[in-house]
Amino acid sequence: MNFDIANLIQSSSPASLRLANQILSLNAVIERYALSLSEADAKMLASVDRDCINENDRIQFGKSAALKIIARFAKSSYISQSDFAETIAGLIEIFYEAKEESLDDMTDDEVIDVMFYFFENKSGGDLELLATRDMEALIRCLRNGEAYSEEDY
Amino acid sequence: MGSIQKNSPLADFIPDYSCYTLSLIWHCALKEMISESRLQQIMDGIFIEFAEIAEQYTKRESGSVSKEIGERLYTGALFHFDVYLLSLDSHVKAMQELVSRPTWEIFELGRKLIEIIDRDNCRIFKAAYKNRLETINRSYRHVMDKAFDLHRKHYSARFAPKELGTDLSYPLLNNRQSEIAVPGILFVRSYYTYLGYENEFCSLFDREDVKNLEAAARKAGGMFFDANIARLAANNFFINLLLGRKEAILAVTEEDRDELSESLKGLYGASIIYALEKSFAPFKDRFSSEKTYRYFFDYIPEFARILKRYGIRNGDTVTVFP
Repeated sequence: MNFDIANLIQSSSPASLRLANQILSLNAVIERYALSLSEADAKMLASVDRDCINENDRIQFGKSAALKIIARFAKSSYISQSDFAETIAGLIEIFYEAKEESLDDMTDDEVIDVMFYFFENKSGGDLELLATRDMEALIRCLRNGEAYSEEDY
Repeated sequence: MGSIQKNSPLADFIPDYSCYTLSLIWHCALKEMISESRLQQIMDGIFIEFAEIAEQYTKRESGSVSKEIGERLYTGALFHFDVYLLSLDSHVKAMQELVSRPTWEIFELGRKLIEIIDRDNCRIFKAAYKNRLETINRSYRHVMDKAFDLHRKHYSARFAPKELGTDLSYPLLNNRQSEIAVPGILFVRSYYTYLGYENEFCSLFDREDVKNLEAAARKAGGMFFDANIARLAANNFFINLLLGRKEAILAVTEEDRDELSESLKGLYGASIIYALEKSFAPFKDRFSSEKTYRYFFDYIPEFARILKRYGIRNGDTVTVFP
């Protein structure tokens, strides 16, 4: 008897709607940065989060990284209200790719910290540069067992 | 497992012991023995236990894991349920527990049982090891000298209770290991329990005789490199019993073989079984437990069947000592 374990897990894990509500509740935190997310934004980001989990063959069991990304990157000097939701969506995608590529060697916070550092100090708020040049360099470092140092980049 | 009444909705339940809880849930859902809301409660409850295990696994520093690890942790969580529900030794009771008991309680009871079984397994292995045989049989030496340590190294009561972590490929008497349907530490428990019976049985005989028997069997070409040693010993021992000897003897000469071949002619299989059961009975007190005795008592019909069908074959049903 073959049971699809991944499917069983997904059928019980917190629904996108719950994540969307959690995202909306972050408005209380990000409003100090003159940022906010609408209901549609929250649903979109929850959907992106779910899609990224599936595409990267991952299983969600705890607090979504999307919430941490929103709270962290709200402080970025390169983010404004006009492109906030879209940028966060791109960052969520980059996060899960990095997490999978790093073979879970880095914690959620470590990946987000590194992403924020690169975003602010190296890629100048450019998502493509962040995803390609900067994160790839980091992953290469991890895979080769080299010590990662922010100064090298 | 306990018997189920004919008209019970569990009468046609075919359990999958590799994932007992899921197979029981699936059957109960199909037969509508469980409401949808209760079904969702159970699955949510299993997820909560899985999520807590995953949190601990990631030291509460990640909210997701790779699919491979997630599935392993989830099946590990499920195994806690399996262990408890299987311990009830009744599909009906297992179903009743699933339907009525909170999932966190089932999980906790399974967790405690896993700890007990794990401790028991160490004791069972030590008992088997006490009577271990001296042999060049590679797979036997692996299960006695290395496999249990490898299992303990890779096993984790919390994260990987279902992991075997090694192979236990030494074949047991009558291929018993293929009848052990349960996985993980439950398999280890059964396997080493049976191996303990076999080692104890072989300790009835002189150690050198067992070694010589094995060597003679290899020479006769009847023994594959990793064949079961207890079977060799049981065969020769039973041959001696059929010859009317009352001691625990392994040695069989060519004259013995010829004498027995003659006396077996015209004998029904049932007569051979009866004769063996009667002559084996006095040895019951020489075993540490009834179960050890019964393990070999239950082999008698198979031995009689092979003897009747294939006759006396050197290196197989009997090994002639040089």
